[in-house]
Amino acid sequence: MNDDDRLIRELYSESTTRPRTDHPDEATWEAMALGELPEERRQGVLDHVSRCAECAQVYRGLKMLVAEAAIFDAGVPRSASRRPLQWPNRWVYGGLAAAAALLLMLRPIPHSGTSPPGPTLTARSDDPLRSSAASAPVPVEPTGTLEGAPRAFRWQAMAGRSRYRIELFSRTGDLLWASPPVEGTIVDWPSSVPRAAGRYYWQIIALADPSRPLTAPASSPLVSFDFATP
Amino acid sequence: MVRRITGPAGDLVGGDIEQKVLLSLWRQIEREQTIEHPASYVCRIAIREAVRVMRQETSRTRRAVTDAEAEAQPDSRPDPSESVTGREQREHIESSLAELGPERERAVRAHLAGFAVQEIMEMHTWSYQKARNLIARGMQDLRTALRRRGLHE
Repeated sequence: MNDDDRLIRELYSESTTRPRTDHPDEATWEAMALGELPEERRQGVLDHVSRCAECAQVYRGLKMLVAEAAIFDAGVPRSASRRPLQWPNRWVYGGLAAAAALLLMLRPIPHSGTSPPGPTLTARSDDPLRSSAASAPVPVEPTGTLEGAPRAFRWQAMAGRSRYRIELFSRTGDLLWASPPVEGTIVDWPSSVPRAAGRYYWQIIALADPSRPLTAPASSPLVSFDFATP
Repeated sequence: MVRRITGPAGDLVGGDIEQKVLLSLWRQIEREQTIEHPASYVCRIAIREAVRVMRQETSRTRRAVTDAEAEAQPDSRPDPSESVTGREQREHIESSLAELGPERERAVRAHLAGFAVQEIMEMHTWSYQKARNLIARGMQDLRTALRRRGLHE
């Protein structure tokens, strides 16, 4: 950049730091992050971002948030700038979600006891943030209320992925344990975590295969289980 | 999860937003009766709360910087001639930008606001080549327009 361009940029920067009152509201930012803003409004926000230093900073932070959130939920748009899904795509995803739900209903539940009061694993096409079973691993057990402490974590593999990481969270959301990359669809309860009665959350992250390192990780939904007797 | 989501954004706005987001998140969760898809729910609420906190932090930081600048200059009244020149120059830049086509104007404004080519192509879903061309040609048009106004020799 030459000196004249630098001067232009400095003058422009000065104008972007002047106080403004027409900032996008929080609902607009949220919709933008989740890819739910109509194209015309999204463009309006971006035009504002280029004129307002304060909102440019929020926009950059938002992009980082979305990138991180997508690791936990494959349904979160990968970028704050992603266009919202067009209707044909929604139908395709809806069809995949319905097929996944049907598969889950047809397979036997592997553990006895009462039905899980916590998160359901059936896909819903009306939730824009939902991870679809077709694009993420599916937790099998433990889920719901158990009679005793679980001995292992088991899940359904994701097509095209062979390496997984399990993350176990406490009732308050603290990470208790993260497994090293594992191959297969079962891993034992970690010896480092005491089997204390209570509620836990866990999820599986399908890792990129070493041969395709640029593939994005895909996460299962976070599911809960609880048990009273260790 | 919240730590991972909010950490980089917190670094960017210079505030520890994780704690604030966690508090708001727990309050939100307490109000709900059942959560069918916890991961999705938590992600959505974390994003919502983080946006709120980020906006507060950003405007707080800006106010603090402005106050510090004002304190550093005891006589904060600008030189009248300098003020007029600066305002005129900014007005010339605005008028010249308005003369560009819509896409070139967007590309150049984003470039002048400090966004990199990669960021601009993502913002507007352009290819890298298109974003780069729009910036280069737009800047050329801007220089020509400013030269016409006697601002860019």
